[in-house]
Amino acid sequence: MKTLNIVVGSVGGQGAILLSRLLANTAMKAGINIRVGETHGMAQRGGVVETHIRFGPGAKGPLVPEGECDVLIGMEPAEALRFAHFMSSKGTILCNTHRIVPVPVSLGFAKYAENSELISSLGKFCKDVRAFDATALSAQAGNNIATNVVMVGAIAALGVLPFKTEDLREEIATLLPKYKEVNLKAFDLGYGQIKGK
Amino acid sequence: MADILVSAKPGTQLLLLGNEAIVRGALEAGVSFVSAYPGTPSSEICDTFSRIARDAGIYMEYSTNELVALEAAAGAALCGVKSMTSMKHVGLNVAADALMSLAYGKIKGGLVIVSADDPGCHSSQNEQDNRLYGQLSYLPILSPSDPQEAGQMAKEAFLVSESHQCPVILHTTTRVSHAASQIKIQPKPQPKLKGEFTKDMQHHVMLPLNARKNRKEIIQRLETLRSEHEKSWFNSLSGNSDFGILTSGVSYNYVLEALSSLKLKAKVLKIGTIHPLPEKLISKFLTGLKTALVVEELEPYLELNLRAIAKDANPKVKLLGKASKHIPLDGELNTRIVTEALAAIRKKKPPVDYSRRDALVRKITLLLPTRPPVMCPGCSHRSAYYAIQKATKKSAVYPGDIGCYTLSALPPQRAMDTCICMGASTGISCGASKVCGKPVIASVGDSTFMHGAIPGLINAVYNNAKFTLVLLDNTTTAMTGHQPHPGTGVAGGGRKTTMVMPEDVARGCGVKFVEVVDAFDTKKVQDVISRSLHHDGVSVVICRQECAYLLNRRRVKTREKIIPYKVNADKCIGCKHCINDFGCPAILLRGDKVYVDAMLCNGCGVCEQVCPVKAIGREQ
Repeated sequence: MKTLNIVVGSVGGQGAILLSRLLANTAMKAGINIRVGETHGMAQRGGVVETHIRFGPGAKGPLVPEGECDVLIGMEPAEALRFAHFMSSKGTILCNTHRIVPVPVSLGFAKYAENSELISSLGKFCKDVRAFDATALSAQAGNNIATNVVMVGAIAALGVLPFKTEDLREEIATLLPKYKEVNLKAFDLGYGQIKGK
Repeated sequence: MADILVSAKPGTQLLLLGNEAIVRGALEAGVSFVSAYPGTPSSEICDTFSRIARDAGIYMEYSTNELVALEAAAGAALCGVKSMTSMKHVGLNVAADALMSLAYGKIKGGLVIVSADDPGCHSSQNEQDNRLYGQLSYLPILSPSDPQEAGQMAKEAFLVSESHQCPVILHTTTRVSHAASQIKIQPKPQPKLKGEFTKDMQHHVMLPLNARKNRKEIIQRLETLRSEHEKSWFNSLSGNSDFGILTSGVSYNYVLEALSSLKLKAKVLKIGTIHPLPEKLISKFLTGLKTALVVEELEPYLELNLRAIAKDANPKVKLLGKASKHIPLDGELNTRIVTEALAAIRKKKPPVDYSRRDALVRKITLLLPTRPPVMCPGCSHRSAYYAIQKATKKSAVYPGDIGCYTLSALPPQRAMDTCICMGASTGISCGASKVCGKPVIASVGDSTFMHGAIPGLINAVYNNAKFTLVLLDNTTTAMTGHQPHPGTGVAGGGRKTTMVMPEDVARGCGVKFVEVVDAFDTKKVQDVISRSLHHDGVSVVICRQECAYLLNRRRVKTREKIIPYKVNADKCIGCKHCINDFGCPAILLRGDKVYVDAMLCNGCGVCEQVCPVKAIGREQ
């Protein structure tokens, strides 16, 4: 199989590591070679969290090479754009439009451009940009902390993952038994968003 | 049910971080005693050991610092028990005193030291390359290129340690420690926690007469290790070309990916046995080469050694790497950097138009706000620093230390002027307070205090230094993942233990002015600090309050609801004092007035004290 490269740009506390674990565990059970590159430490205090997920025999290092990212999951619009340079022009960007205002902006030390400007900039790296309010979908599922699972649903709907969508849903149920219903609903809402249902 | 890392059946696969793979590898080697002090990127090693200690039947302790951790592990290993310690790169500096002399002796039990480097300073104060400790200590170093190899090397390191009766350093970097991959589980033996101390005066007592003999022995040991490394399966030589690449660690993967994307051929030597280097294998690699590129992170360690070996093996070879500026000396590497180096050397066009991308990135950077890590909403450090600034009118010198609170160096607190190494707050204050002619207000966290600030405090009492040490006690090692420490009453593996209270330590050190205050009571903190400035000698002000992160974790369990604070817009005068001087991430600006984001508010209530017009109160 061709290597599948995914980059996740997020803010500390948004659950990017769990997102990567859901995808990687499902892939492992399907017998696929996996490399995940995670950010720990300082990034957890509301800082930027960058996660790389790679599937296939060609995945050697833990980082997606610049220009070879197939899917960028932006858990927040600025964090989508921060990692857009990884994109292959043929890839897809999934961008959550819900903004998390960084402290330097609320202090008045930094500016945060409008979403429209951020999203049009994403389009300069690849044509296929899907922007939607994943946090609202998560809230609709019953809890806004399931935004990460909404994004998992969205990437599953793109049809690029090297395993069955059903296996991914099963992994969600196994890994998150306590909040299974909210998470499966969040997954389905993310999936439906991309499929247009 | 036992933890999956312990109970997983041989032959099955687990998705593990490099650090977790090291733990599993060590268990498969029979590790039975673990002592460590956490530090990114090594922390998941000790935390995983702590989590599984009971299930695995091993002993695990969080030690007060890396030096003690190494000494404890060595003590167990001297009694024949297989031991491991893990630390971040700078932790090995703390432990180096023990390391250099342990290297001279003989340890029968197997002792492995994991040193995790942080190229790129993801969460470190420097970029030191601990591979150089090999030359300094004469100890063997293994350096894995991915999580799978990290696990294998952890296991192998114990065999090497036992057969040579010396400590072995397992050297990782952030991109190995924090990379996850599928790991095949192998069988593991039962741990053996009971040992016996056997006297061996020559190898355990480093008197000069013994040290001189032992030095001869370790010189010989190095050569034996070198010949073993010539045959090690952690080194691989592949490809046939007159262009060669010498590499190690995670960079090996970048080399493979860059060669593949550029469709280039090269002879590649990947070294896993970093010290001592297999010189014959490197000579073999050099044979027939016209050009060789060295791809490694940080110091030109392989490069300088290659240069020395090439002098005899292939003096005509053109050597490229850091000296030729193809590979940078700073920061971590990635596939792009290696691709660009190879493209330049082999005159190929990179598959990606990097310059077009860089131009785009420069443009979008203007649109992007920076997002530095910040203290959490409800963090007691914010409250303490607010009071420090109020009490000292921002006019003091503020030596600091290492932890979440180092973020107070940034606006709006700007209450930290130095951050050097663990515990430096007290030592720096000893010197600065003697000469600077300004009040000196140092700050240190509870875990860092126990780790390294106590000798500095004793020194302050002894030498009559005059400064205030604010001890920010949130009863955890928050920065590295909330590990317990001597002040918490909890030990490794979740054991209940005696609490070593910092106020008792301070009094025991001879400090006369020791006060404990609620960190959320800004008026009280301010008052105590103001009084401490008039005390003739060193003062210790302990600002105590539970870490907001831990409080929230507890709230999830007890289902306690947070009652957020609210701004009365009619009363708010838009002075922005709560933003510009306090800076809680939950307080935001809407127009010219502030509001509290109820989702982010942690309900600590400090903003209510901070607001000059009493516009903030609890939501009813």
